[in-house]
Amino acid sequence: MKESAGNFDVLSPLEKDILKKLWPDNKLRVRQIFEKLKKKRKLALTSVAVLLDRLYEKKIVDRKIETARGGARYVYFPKKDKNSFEKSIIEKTVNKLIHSFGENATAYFEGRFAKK
Amino acid sequence: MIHANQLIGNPSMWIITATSIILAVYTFNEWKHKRNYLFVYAHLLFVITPFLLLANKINCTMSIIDGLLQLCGIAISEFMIYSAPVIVFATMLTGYFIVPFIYTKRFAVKEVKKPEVSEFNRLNKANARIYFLDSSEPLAFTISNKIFISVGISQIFSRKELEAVILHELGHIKNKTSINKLSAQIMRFFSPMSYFGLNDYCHDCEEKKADHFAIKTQKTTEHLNSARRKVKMYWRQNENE
Repeated sequence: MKESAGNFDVLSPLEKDILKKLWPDNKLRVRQIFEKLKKKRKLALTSVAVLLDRLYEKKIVDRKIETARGGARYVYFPKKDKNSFEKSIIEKTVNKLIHSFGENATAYFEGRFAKK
Repeated sequence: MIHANQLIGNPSMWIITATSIILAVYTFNEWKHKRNYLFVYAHLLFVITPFLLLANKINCTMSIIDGLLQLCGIAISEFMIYSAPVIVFATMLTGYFIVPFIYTKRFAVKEVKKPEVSEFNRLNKANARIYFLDSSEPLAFTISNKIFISVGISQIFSRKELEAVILHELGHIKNKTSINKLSAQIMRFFSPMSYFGLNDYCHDCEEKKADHFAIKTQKTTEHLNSARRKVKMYWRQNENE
């Protein structure tokens, strides 16, 4: 076994929640996402800002600068829709499993989908 | 055979001795305040290396004292005397023009007009300007008369907190401290002797004066303190995430 199972988690729970808010509306600012999330959990505005920056660095979301009322803000939007994103995660996860566990992984998949 | 009169009567010997004492005191002072020793030694090497290269170029043998006192000493002393105004000029040019130009043309997103800045310019006959930087990190700094604020700051601060930060930076412009800070940083890189030329430069004092200006204008410490807390929280969470 080359990697532990924990390495297959791509996003933290809060990152997942942020993406869930972004997918329907498509374009949101940090404060707007914060207002939506704080109804369900206790969190700080800075946490949302930090995590959006993380998602931007991971190239899961993109951003552009919006200037208005003498200020400037980032507007974030997902790079892929929900289906495409989930497919890419599945593909990466399966590839990692096969890379880590080799024949055992491929045998498992064959057996699992054969039963279906 | 070296005579004592040769040592005492030679001006280059005095310059070299004075420089060595200054460097030694500076090194001791840095050590005493537990600052970055490696930076100090690298600094000294950076300063001394050109002179060593020059001495080698004009065929000086530094290991022989009389050679040092004669041609090497004169050449090196003249070089040091001429290089000082060049370094000062280069620093002023960099601080007043080059660095602000690079930031406004390369990194800045937009110049904005803020009422507190317009009011400040009117009252102080100044020409302060604000630019937003394309960065998600909470940054705010002043170079010359230009204030740079990151987009990251404006998206986590309230209107009053942002105003407090802008007023803090205007305080630096009012106290003319922004150029001092940049000059001190650049000069320290070039020469430890600049430490003595700027020995009344106190970073914490200048920050407090700038805070005082913001607090006096807003008539409360609430927004500035709140802004500081958010910045600390951002960096703490950035490390943890």
